[in-house]
Amino acid sequence: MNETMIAWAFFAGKILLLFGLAFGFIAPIMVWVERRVCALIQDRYGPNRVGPLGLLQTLADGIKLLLKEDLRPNEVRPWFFILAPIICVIPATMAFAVIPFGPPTTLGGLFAEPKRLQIAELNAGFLYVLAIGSLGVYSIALAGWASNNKFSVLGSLRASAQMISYELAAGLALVSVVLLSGSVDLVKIVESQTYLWNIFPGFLAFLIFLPAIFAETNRTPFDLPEAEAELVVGYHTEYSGMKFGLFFLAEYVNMTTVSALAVLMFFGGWEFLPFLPWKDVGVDVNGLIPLFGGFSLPAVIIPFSWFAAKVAFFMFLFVWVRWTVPRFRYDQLMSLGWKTLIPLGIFNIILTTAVIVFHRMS
Amino acid sequence: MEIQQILFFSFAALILLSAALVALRPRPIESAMWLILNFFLTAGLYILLGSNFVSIIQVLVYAGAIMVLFVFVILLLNLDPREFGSEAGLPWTSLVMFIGFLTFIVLSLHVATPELMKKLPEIKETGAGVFGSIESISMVLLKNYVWGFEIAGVILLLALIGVGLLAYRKPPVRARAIHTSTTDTMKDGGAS
Repeated sequence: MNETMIAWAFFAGKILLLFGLAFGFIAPIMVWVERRVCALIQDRYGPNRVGPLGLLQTLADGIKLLLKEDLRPNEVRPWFFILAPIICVIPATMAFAVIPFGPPTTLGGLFAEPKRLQIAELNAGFLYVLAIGSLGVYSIALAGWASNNKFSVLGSLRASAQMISYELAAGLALVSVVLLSGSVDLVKIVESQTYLWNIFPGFLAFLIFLPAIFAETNRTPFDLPEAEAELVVGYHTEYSGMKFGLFFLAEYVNMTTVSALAVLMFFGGWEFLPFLPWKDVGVDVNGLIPLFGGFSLPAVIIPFSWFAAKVAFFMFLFVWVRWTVPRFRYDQLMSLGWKTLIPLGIFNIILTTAVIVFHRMS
Repeated sequence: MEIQQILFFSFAALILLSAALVALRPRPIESAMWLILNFFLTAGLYILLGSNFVSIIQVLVYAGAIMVLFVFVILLLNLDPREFGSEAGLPWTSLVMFIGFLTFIVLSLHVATPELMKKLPEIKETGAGVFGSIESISMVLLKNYVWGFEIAGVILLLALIGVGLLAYRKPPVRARAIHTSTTDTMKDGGAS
């Protein structure tokens, strides 16, 4: 194999690994985790019949969703009704393209120079995630409107207002992280955190960012768009079968993206411990780990797994919070976003800038 | 043809097509959808020019923020295309399209000459400090054009405050007692 073919195979491999993980593994496992953790918190068993520990329950549910009749109520606007779930999945998938999932590596000497484990090497990575994330609003607005149902319209209005408001808060929080790291490139942001994770100087930013991502993904305590007690299930009331499945899938993929973003921006990405990076423990990301029988694995698999574990923790946090914290009221949600988080975010940017300038001058 | 040229011509053709559909579709919501696609494709053109930052901002600001408001207004008004008489407007549409098409032909003949194609700048690799990166744009904005940049910011802030003043009216003091004395609120002008 020549250089170009290896490069193309590497590129295709990255895409397959990331999307295979997101759609084939993370989303199904998360549905299972959600139900099992919910059951644990509520002191019951949860799904435990299909497969070992009920692990195949999601597969069974997926088959059920695919085989269900594709209902389309009479009064919906047909094109937009079908378009909405499709638009929902596309941005969720696209945002994944700039998430780096490991340090730049030569894969144990396969390449002459270290290559990035990131599908699209954009130099404005985190802005891309924000830009694509802001497109999720369309699917929800369209779904609610096209369903021609008052609960759907109310749910979609709530969801859109909520997503627009909290996008600002999340963006402001991330701006101060960019100031701390001095780059908008996600790989460089992680590299700047080798010894000092951004969570320590940027704790206030994280306090703003955390509720904002819960609201962005429409998860409890901010799941007002789907508040069952008031709105049936909000914007996807009229959706059934795989169209509902797509909304469901997009929610979990979005959760993965924002969890990965939180880890990359605040928790040192794939680095080992707050003040102890992998290179100080003796792990060379360009090296090889010998296995039995003369085989060996690229050592980059260690930071990659560690990154995955951190993301998994954040996704567990999403589930944990969902079954612990009750839902906010709508006016509480709006005043938290506009009167607390956004002013706090602006204050945080000014504070961070002042500290950085002061630090450089002294 | 190089891959960049193929991409450019497909983007350009799709931009023209979606722009035409924005004007031609009867329902406002469909027009808005095509306009969003148009913004996306324009972002693609920026990427071909090597300005990743501008293309991302294009998606973030136009497709992600401004068009959301458009879509909202359209969905909330929920207009029937027959209500504002798209049939009656047909002669206008054809006239505007005719003039637009003529302008397009004249401009194409005037602009798209081989000399112009030679004058197009070389596209450099993107990265820190080169054309189109966030670093170079911020250097230019905050050093060479800092006054214009700041004044634009102040104007936007003024506009924001103005909108706030116009939109926010204190509810009339006796709004709750409206059923007892309507005349008082009327004298008040509905807003104080």
